[in-house]
Amino acid sequence: MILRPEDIIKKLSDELGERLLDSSIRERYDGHVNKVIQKHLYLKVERDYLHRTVSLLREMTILHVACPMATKENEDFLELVYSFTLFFAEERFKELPVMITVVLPKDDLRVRSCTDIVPGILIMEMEAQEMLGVLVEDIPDKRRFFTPECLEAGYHPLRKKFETKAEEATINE
Amino acid sequence: MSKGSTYKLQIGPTHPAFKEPVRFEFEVDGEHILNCDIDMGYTHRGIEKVAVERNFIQIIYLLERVCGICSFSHPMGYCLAVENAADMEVPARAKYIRTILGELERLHSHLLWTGVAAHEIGFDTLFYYTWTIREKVMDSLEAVTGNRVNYAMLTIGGVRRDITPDLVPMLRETVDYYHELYDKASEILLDDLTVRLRSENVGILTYDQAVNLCAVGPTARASGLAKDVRVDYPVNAYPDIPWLKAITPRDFGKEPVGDVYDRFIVRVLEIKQSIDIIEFCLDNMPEGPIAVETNAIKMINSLKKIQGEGIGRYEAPRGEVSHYHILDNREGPVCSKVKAPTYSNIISWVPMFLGAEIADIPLIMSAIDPCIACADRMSMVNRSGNKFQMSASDLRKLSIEKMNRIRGIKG
Repeated sequence: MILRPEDIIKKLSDELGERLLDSSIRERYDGHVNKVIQKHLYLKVERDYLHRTVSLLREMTILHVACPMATKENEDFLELVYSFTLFFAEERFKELPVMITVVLPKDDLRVRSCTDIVPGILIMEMEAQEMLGVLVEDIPDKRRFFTPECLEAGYHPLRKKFETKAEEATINE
Repeated sequence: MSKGSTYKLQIGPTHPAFKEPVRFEFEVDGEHILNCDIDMGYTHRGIEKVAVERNFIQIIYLLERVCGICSFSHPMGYCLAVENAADMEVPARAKYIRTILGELERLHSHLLWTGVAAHEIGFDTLFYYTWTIREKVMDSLEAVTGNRVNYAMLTIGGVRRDITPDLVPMLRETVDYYHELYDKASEILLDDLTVRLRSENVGILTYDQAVNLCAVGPTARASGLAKDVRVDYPVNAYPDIPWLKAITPRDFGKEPVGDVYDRFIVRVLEIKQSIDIIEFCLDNMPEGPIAVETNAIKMINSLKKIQGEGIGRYEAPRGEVSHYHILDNREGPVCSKVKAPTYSNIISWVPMFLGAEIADIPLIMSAIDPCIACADRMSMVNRSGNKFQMSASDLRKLSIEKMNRIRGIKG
């Protein structure tokens, strides 16, 4: 059954209470002759309740991870934005993208792995560890995937403090 | 071979069967694969990091370079994300032009894949056949956009160039060309005994595995998961096409197994679907402007006032492309996140390989149509033992001459 975003917020709110910090629904339209309305659900939850939130969503329907975690980086904290989609492959144009934001203080960059709920999120969690320096607790594969194992610790290319430097390329015949 | 006598087989990162650097480590018992490990990251180019150092318009052309084959799909995902964040409505004509270009890309990509798959099973006659007929769509793309790849057609809020009336007959001719060839081509691709013997029950990904591992594109649909962004999530002209549906092997009268043959079926049927979509768009193309704003500076200045975030999702030939961009009163986004289809399909390789034979590794690997991190454009040519160098301007001049030749313009 395809749930309305309002119903999903109600269910999550009942279960999580104040741990659900914020929620909003955004709409967009597309098509020309057949105008279709598309809804997006934005949630913000306490870091320690991310796993529970994803688990509750999984109880409602199957989950797909749409995009690796986007980030908003401030001086003291890092916001991770998880992008899921719900209700795909069911009814035409009824898919619901759900974005869940969690705030991680920079002196405690850790979050619980969701691979036990959505195994397909593994590579994205590995990327968050390597590129952002977020410790993903209980991740089943602790190795590096995108960066070499020999890379020095604390070297996270997608963090703001990491500066890119153009170097002259040499082509040998 | 008895238990305990397994051995490790390393394939890659560079290997003649692979088009991109990726390393596999197989645990093998005789010819049978018992376990598989994957290691990537050999061509990470840091495009997302570069993107946050550029402005909104420059990023379009940067993201075309994520992948040469999907060089329409990535900027499409980006433009959708920024338009979503800015709550921007794209003109109707631009939506139809975007749809036509996206389907031309799908057509050439699927033909390319069928050729690669044919080559991997040793059926090189089919490889040459599919790549020969692919040239027609490549010429069409070049005539419309000026390039075979990296089309520079998209902008935030529309497209940069129109499909003018003089280009329509050429596109209709392309549609007719593929309509006429389709029955013959699909018979070779789907009924030929060689193709079936090599691809049936090889590299299986079950429905449950596709769901749990978040597989996308033809890889997911071949397993019976009818997931297609064009159908699930309304973008461009797709909502206007009443008969549009996600293709699975059931549309071929067959229950999905999730093997390589089913991936052949999905892609071949999608070739027909793309031809029909292009025809539909040509028949129903609305008049009107092609972009919200054609002045790039004005567009950047208006986006600079926005604080927000948007997700852009698009069904590339290989599957779902997702972009997430965060705007925060800058000339460009503060965060650019890109997901290519192969990113989602990487871990689907593991169950596909388990139980397979060594000889099937190249075919299974290519069956998800992995996205290659494209190398630099050729600059050194070796012909008859003589080396000579062509500059970027030489290549551009040759490219313009060829485009004019295709368009029938005398230089």
